Amino acid sequence: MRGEPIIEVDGLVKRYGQLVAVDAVSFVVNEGEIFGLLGPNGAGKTTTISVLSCLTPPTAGTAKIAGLDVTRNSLAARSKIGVVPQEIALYPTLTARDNLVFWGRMYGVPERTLAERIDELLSVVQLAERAGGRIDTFSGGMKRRINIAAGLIHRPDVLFLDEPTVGIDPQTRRSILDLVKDLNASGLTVLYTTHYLEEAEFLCDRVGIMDEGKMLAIGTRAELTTSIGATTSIDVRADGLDDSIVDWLSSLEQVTDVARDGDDLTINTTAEANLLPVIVERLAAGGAKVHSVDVKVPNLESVFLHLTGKSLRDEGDQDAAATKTNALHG
Amino acid sequence: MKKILVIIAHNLRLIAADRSTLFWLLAMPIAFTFVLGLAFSGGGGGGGSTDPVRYGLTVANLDRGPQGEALLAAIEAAGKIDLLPIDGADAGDTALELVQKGDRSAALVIPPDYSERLARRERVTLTFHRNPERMNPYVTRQAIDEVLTRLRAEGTAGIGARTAYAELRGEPPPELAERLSSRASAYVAENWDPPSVTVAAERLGRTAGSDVPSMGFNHSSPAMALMYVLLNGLMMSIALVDERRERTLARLFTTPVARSSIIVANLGWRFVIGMLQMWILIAFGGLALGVDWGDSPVGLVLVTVTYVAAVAGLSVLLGSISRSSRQAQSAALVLSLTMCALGGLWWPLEITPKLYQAAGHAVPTGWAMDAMHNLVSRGYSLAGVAPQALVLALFAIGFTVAATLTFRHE
Repeated sequence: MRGEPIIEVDGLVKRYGQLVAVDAVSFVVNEGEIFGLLGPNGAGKTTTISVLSCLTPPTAGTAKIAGLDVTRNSLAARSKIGVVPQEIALYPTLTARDNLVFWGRMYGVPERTLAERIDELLSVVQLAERAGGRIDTFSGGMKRRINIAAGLIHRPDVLFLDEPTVGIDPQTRRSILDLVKDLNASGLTVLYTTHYLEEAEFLCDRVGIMDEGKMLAIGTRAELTTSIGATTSIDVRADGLDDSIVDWLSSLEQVTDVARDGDDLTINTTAEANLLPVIVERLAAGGAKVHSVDVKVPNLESVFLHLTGKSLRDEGDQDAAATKTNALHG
Repeated sequence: MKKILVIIAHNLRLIAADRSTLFWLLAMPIAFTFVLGLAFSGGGGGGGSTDPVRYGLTVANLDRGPQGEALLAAIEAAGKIDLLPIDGADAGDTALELVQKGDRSAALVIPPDYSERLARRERVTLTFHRNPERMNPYVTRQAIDEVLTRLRAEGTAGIGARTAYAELRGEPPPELAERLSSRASAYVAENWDPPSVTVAAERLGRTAGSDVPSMGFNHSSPAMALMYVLLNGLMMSIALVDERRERTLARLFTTPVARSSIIVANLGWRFVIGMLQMWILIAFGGLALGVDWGDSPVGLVLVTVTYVAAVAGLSVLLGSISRSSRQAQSAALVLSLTMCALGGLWWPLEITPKLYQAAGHAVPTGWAMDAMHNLVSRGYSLAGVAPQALVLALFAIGFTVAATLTFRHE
């Protein structure tokens, strides 16, 4: 946690008739954080952001932005937030600059500073040269960046990003994620919804995992994996393994389980990186010849699987997720 | 307030950027004003074609003498009426039946003793049957009266010539008396001219509600202005659906702008466009087509303001309840065309049956067209259009309240 709480959600409920879209959700986001809401489609992420954006009133519970209740102090709360919806919410026949002028005026940005602010933002999103271009002539990625710029025009305290990378190419996705990182580095608090595990892991300081309207867990990645008892799995293939190495590994405090199957050795440990050199050194000392080592670190997928009994990837587009992994690490 | 104006200006800019806007806002209504105006011209007032329109008149000439034929010849020669004669002993009854059944709009029955009574210089009554729901009888009756007036003047001139001769030189011999009479009548016939003395009627109040309004451009110009303001206004409901679909409306709701301001702005820009269109078409009607928009500019402003406000409210309501652009477009077309037909924009309500007239007053167009006829054709003052303006204002309030209740961003 970094600063003071800037988003406070307590017992939030949103019903549409019989459907409970958000079910008693509570969480706090602190100043300067990137907080992720992770969950499959229909988990209640967008509904939660809609309530926080003052688009829809809660059925029960409270939500505050910078201490302002979104129901009772709606207009004041709205002036504190910037909202980047999942869709490109821009006027296609207007230029990028004209769109930003309009949204700036809607946020009450003074005319004397508006032009300067727009130039600055167009630079940030690397579209200064296309300021006079009509939105309907832009590529998908360019539209996304202007969409984000429109949410930043009034220098909000908090930026809501609702699945901003859905349906875009890996390169554009990477540039948007980098942009979010940069904005956060400059002090902006970000509430980011996604159903992509890799994005949540790459971007977010803390993650709230949602499913079927409920908040299942909140924490850093380490806190979440630890909370479910997930361990790092080290798979070793080597010649010359014997039972003495199994006995030795079993005696280590950080090792929770060891199994040997011929030349294959599987070690589960709560330690991630520091145990690996020790194991390799011990194997070499015992005369074993190591062919391969594969380390499987627990991730949010493990947490989601543990909490819901289903894979998050099953809920979304696996191909897209695979592409995204390349974008994040490539 | 500033943000409302910004949203209004923003939407006006979006509309103006659409190249088809001028075509639908101005070119089409002007073209249809011409077409409809020409189609109805000649029926009274408001310019139009210089070729006289001829109306059909059923005639049953039962006269045994020559005067009946002379009268019909004179009527036909006047150039306004095409005679549709009925022969036979029961021609009078046939003519009455045709008018009663609505197959003919009017019929003139000349009695059997017409010539004899004229010869005896006795008063004669011609029977004129008319269908009260048709407009033609007013014109044909007027034409008959004009001919009768001229014939009477010719006869009176003949009598006058003989009388004058008798006073100056004594009773003329029969042959001379006949020459004097026919010469005087011929002089009147040759030199017949509309009266040089006219009565200027000052219109101080309502005329009867059943008065048939002027036709020609006096009808088409206000009618097409009302029609296209309605059509374009309702078509602009699509913009609201598009704003919802493109999520720009939802984004607007996340800015520090009150819901009420967003609704007012949506009503406002539609009102501005409607008023601009209305007054450009009114100016065109006045300057290019010679339409006299009456003696009450305040009344005209009041009627246009309340009508356009009603259209703007209905447009936002339609945009709020429509689920797709296609649905909004279809509804706009059906609603506007139905209201135009019902409201008497394509033909005067006064020539339609009573039930139709009642239905016409269930929609704003009927009241607006009433008010326009009162201003343009009947020359009413502000008080003469205040009731219609009040009803239009109630329509505007009703539509606006419904639009406010149904307005949504998703």
